[in-house]
Amino acid sequence: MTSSLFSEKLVLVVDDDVLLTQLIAITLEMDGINTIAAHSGFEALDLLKNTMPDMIMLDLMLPEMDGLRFIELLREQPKFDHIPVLVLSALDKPEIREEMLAAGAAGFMLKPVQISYLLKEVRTLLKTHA
Amino acid sequence: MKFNLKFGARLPQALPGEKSTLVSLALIWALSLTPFAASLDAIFYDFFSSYLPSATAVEAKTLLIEVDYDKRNLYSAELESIAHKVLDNGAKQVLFLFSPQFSPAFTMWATASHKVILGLRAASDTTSPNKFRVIDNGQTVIPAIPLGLVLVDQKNNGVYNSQVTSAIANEKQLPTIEYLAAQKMGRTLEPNQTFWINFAGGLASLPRLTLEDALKGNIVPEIVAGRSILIGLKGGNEQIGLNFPGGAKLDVATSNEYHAFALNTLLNKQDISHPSIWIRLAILSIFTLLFFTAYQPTPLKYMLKLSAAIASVYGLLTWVSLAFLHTWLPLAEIILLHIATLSLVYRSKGQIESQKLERMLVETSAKLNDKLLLASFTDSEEHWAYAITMVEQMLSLNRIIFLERIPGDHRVREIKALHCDINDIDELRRDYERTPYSASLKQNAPLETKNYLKAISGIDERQFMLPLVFGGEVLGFWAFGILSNKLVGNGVILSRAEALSEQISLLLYQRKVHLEHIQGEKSNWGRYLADKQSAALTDLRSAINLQEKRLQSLESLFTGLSTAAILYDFFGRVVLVNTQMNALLQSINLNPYTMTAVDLITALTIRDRDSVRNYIQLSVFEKQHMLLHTEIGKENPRQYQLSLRAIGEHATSQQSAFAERLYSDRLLVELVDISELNRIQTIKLQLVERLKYLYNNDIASLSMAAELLKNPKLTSAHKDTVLTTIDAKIKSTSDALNKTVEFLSEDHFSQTSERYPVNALQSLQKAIEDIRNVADKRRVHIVTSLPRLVSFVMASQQEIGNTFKAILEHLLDDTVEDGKIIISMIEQDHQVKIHFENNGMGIPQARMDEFLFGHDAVASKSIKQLREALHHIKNWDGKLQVISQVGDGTHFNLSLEAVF
Repeated sequence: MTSSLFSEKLVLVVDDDVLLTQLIAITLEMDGINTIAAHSGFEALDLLKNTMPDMIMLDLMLPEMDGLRFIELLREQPKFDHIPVLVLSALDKPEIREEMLAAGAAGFMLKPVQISYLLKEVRTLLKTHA
Repeated sequence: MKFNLKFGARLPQALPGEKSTLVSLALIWALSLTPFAASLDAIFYDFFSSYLPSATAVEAKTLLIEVDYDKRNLYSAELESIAHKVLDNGAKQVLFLFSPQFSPAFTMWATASHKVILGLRAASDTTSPNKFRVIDNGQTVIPAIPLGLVLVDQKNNGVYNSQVTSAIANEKQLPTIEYLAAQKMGRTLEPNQTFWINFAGGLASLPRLTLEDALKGNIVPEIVAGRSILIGLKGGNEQIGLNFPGGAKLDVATSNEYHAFALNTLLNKQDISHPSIWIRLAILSIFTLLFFTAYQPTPLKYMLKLSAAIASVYGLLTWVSLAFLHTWLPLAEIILLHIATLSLVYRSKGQIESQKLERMLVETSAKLNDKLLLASFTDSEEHWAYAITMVEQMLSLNRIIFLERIPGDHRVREIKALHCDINDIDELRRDYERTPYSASLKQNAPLETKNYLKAISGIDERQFMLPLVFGGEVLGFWAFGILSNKLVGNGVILSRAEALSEQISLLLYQRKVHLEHIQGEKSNWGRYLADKQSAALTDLRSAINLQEKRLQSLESLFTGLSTAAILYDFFGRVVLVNTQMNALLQSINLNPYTMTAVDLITALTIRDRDSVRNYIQLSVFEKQHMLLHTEIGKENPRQYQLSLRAIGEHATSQQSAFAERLYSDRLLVELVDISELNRIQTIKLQLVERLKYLYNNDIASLSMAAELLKNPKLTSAHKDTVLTTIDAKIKSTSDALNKTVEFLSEDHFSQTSERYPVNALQSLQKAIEDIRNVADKRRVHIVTSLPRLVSFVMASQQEIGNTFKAILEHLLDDTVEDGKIIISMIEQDHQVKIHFENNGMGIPQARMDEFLFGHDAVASKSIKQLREALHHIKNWDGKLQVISQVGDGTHFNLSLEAVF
């Protein structure tokens, strides 16, 4: 692990796909970004009670509550207003993208995504919302 | 001449009526030599001469002076004087139509002058019509003066229109006075010739001088010069009038006037000539050729009109010939020939038409029979084997025996057996007038028999007999045994056996008629005695009857088609509408009988009339099969494909493209319900979309893992994690792919199938929308918490919709006014969980359980629907929990297995 501009940054990865969550965590950590993971919306909300991440990387389709509902609940709490949410989804529907952005997502990336692009987007969002 | 005979007719060896017309020509020519033909011609001559124009009147070369009969002897000297005077004034000659008492001096002078002719009046001899008797005595008194017979030729049909050149009087052949006078003027005719007198101009055209004027000296050269003067008696017997043709009404002339016209005719060489027999033959031949060639190409219906035209032409020719050529065409013979030719050609053509019709009947009936009869059955000697095979294929019988009626007898004989021997029949009389056959005929349905077939030990069998009867004619019987256990609860076998019996009877009857027909064709006597036309008609009628039956079957088939169909004629009017189309159109308040094809298609497809017309044109003229999509119904709209195509005969290769178009004289409009296909298509598309999402997810992991593996900074611990991820993702992708192939390739999506991946979220949203109006009216608020995306569940799309609807309707019934129905859906632990609850009255849990899971009948519609829903949920391996408390409302928790 190398020290970097983002070594103090923490990204919350919310995805029900455990394996993918691990891969994203490895990828970000190799770039010096710290990660924590949650596999459902409720689990993520629980984590947020004690942790304030610099960014949330969110899957759209989650058990119990979907990504949109999660953003809606997140944005209901002003203390989380500053946390950028990057939605990562395999669902290629423009209306869904519009809905997510309208609900408060900072970015939307379509799976599969190249690591370089993912990292670039993460860095941008972390810098922008620092 | 070319004949266009259809249906393979041979060209005739000779033209219609050719030989018989030639025979007619010969006969009529021979007839023309008889007095009968002459008599007929005379009638026509009278008629035509009545209508001769005055312009054709001949020059008057005669002058008539008449002397009173009573004074004939008083005026002898005066007559002599008149004779002198007229001759002195330039008259050519003087003819005395009687024998006056002349003086010797006059006699000498007259003899010397050679210009005086005395007439010997002759009357018909009663012994013979051709002989005459002289009634004057001039012959003996003044033999030196030329004597001519004064007689009137026999009348023709009451008309005196001819004169002879000589006659036998007092056993001597003597010239008539007219001919004698004409001879002196240089005319020569046959000695025994009859000539027709030319009466053109009528009585008014005959110059006259009264005796008184003559005696007064009024004889001047202008009157008498160049003329032959006839002096005759008037009054007495001479006064008797002679009819001759002079107008539409016959004129009456004296015998003097008759002689004057006769002489004038000869002197002017205007006697009507008659063609010789050979010329007559030539004329008749020419007319025969004319008639024959004129009638050959003429259709039968125009022959009478043509005949009238031809008759007018030769009538005119006859008149012209008489008026200007003074020649009489043999009109009577021509008319007879005309009638004969017309009749013969007409009859011959009729016969040819009849032969063509007969051939057409035979060929048409043969063609129809070829199409309608089962050749394999009718022509084969093994027809009973076919029948038994048919029964064997249709019915599961233990044993079968067919019996055939012995032709012309009341007995039957066993013919064919299956799964048994023909000796198995335990009945010896084989007489169909006795039981069990007579009873079977009477019942005309399966008759259960006891031991008609020999019993087989250890086999529980029931036996039946059925007659083979068609049109009241007994053709045979069939008996069968069926295992009792196959018959129990399956009475339909007997009704099918009865239907098969009818079918076999029909085939046997057709075969019998067909064979009888062939037998008749083969037999010389049969061919000789057969009325082919009647036989052909009978065959045709029989074929048409069968064709009609088939058409009725087709019509029934059309009417009963599950596809809604309507058939229009070329004019856009309804020909047939099937039951399905009727019901469909009634459901949307359309009456096909008051609408044209354009109206209906416009109404059904909601397209403008011009577009619809264009579709119809493409269909009718370009033979294109048009397919239009449409949706019918407001509350429960269904998707249809409207098919539009022209149907009809195909024109033959010799017919034009236009004919090909015109033959497409029917327009078939069909509405194919594609709602189910659309539904399946939609499900499959949703499934594919869902799978795409899952694959993209997995591929995202694989792609990321692959990139990470390339990164040299990857620690070995992370590398293991990455490799594990790759293995797991490859496996899950492969599993998903296999599942996908399985679902897409098999018939999991039909309405009868109960389990396949469906989008429960979409069905729930639709169910909510369906009840929203009612809920709003009752002021019930529907609160939902539904995800944007959720996994598919294993269910049936139709039934999951009904399940949601049943739950919602139950909750709606139970919810208080201004209450809420709360609906939420989450996916958890590979389950899609849907929660429903309301602010309602609720019922005790025990009662709810009894309602839902008990066996007692319930009246409530919503409870019935919930019971049905529970049955389906169980089939989907799902769970439904129902919690109800009085005052607390009802909660439904539905869990369904999530797939994909």
